[in-house]
Amino acid sequence: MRMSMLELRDVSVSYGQKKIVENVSFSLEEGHWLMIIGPNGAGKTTLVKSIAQAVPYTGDVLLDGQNVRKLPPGQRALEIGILSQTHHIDYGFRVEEVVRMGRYAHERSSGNGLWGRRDPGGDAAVQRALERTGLKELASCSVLTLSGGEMQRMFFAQLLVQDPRILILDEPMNHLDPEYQMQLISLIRDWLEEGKEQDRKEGQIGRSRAVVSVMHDLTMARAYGDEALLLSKGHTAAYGSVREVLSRKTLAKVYHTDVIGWQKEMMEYFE
Amino acid sequence: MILMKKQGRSNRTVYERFPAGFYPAAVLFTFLVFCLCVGAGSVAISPAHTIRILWSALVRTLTGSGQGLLGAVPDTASAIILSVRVPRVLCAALSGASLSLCGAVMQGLLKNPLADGSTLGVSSGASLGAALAITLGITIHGTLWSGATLMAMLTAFLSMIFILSLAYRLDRSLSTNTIILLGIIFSMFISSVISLLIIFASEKIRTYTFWTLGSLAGTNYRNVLTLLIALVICGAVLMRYAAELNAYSIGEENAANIGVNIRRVRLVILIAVSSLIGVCVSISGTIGFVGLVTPHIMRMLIGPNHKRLLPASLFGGAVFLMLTDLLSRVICNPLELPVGVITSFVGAPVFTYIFYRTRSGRE
Repeated sequence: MRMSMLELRDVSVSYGQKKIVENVSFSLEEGHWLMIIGPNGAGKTTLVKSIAQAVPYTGDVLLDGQNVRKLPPGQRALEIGILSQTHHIDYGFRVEEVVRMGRYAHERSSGNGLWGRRDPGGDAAVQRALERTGLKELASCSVLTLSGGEMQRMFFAQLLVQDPRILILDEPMNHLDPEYQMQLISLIRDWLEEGKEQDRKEGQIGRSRAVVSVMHDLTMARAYGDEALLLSKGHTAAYGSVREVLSRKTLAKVYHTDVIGWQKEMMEYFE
Repeated sequence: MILMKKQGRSNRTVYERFPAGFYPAAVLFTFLVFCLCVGAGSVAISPAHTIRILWSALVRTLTGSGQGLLGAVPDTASAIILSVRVPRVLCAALSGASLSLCGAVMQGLLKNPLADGSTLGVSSGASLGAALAITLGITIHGTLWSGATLMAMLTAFLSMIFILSLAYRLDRSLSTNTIILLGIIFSMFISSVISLLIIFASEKIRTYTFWTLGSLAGTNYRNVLTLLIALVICGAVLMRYAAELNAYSIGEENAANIGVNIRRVRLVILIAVSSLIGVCVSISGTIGFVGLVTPHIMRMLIGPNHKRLLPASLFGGAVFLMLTDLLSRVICNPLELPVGVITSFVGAPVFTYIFYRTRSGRE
């Protein structure tokens, strides 16, 4: 019997008087990928930020039944990690240095003492993440010289190195060309599979994994997601399996156009 | 000039390995500048003679013979060096190192290459505290620090909190313009308050004027000890947060994501920085732009990683202020300029240059 790994209960976020997200609830099983979709300004980014504890919210975010709000920052980083939508860097760090920053929580976890920076798995993890994201050649380049897509991959590599159990991805396909979009998709799917394998091997539920991502591309959401949550003006318009949520009728209502019909029409040009 | 960077293929900046000899070279260079600054002045003493005097003083102190460092000085040259120049140059080195360290830390913490004690208004805040302590005759018994030092540390911290919280209210991203503008307005306000104090306590007007311009004249071994203790304590705290400062300089949101306790770390860093700036200001007045110029040069030399940038800024700041202090002593000899005049003279163009670069680099 699979238990739900991540659960949101009545999460609401408001900036001042304005309510951005209102009473959103969902539960996510281990090994699953939840797609958060919806029109511009629906509150998707704010919702995922609240899961990552980056904005103040009301309601509860539970991880294996435990309230995430009560975790100290270092421990939270080992459980939940977020890839932001925009990045702006002012100083010329090396790509490798930025990726390694993802190990912060591991370097500071218990047993390392006051000056402890020991992190036995660090070097291997950094090298592996650089390889998987295709940044090996750029490892010692200044981040100021990176393109938007390279920057996005660098922060994804940082997230891989951080090795949380839940990946929160805010429009991960941003800035990426189709080749890297495909690579990222397979990276995320491999990452989820690895979690399931570890589970089977060790017979423990502790290190299972799940992904929550904001997606604008509905085709991708339909193809790779397990569940979907459709947001509209901060409210849950639909929630369930991708098959149910991403139906032509539901989408047409929220987006005010026949989105699926339009996409089909475009695909015809390739026939 | 550029030690670590080279243009790679496809026009990217690629870093070379950090040279292992950097720190030994920095220590040696700092020592040589120290000897130069102790030897040079209105009475010139040859480098060999200077080193001989320093060495014999060191031996006397360590072996405990004679009456320590200041006892029984054999000749005038020794007297000038040991009782006037050494404490002064040491104060210059320690203040320079402290101010430069604080600048490097603030620039990382606020992700803002123009942050510095003087541009943030923290130095002004500290000088208000010290000015108040002197006019009102505030003394605090039972501590090593004088009333002026403690008041300077306190007002430095309060003004930093005041400026940053105001900046946060205006604009959550703490953009360069907001902070610098607020810092300048705050400094102007504080200087008008200090002017008022001067008017009501006119008998101390000369001390004030000289002191607010920043000067290392008349510093003694007690000041050296005060600075040394402050730098060791605050420096150790700040160096320990090098990894966190790297995270902040990528962005606060990213720092929070990788697990930095952003509120607590920020508070500890702000307390350490304002204490250190407070001590410096209470001893040598507001010496502007040291914390802006040296970290910037060091970042160009060895890159922005704070694990290396902070120690390098210590050496750079020490050398920079020793040399500018030397200039202030000899440039209009026998007239002595306040060192703050020289640092601002160098610092203002550098500030403009960095500001120009950060502005044109964006968008």
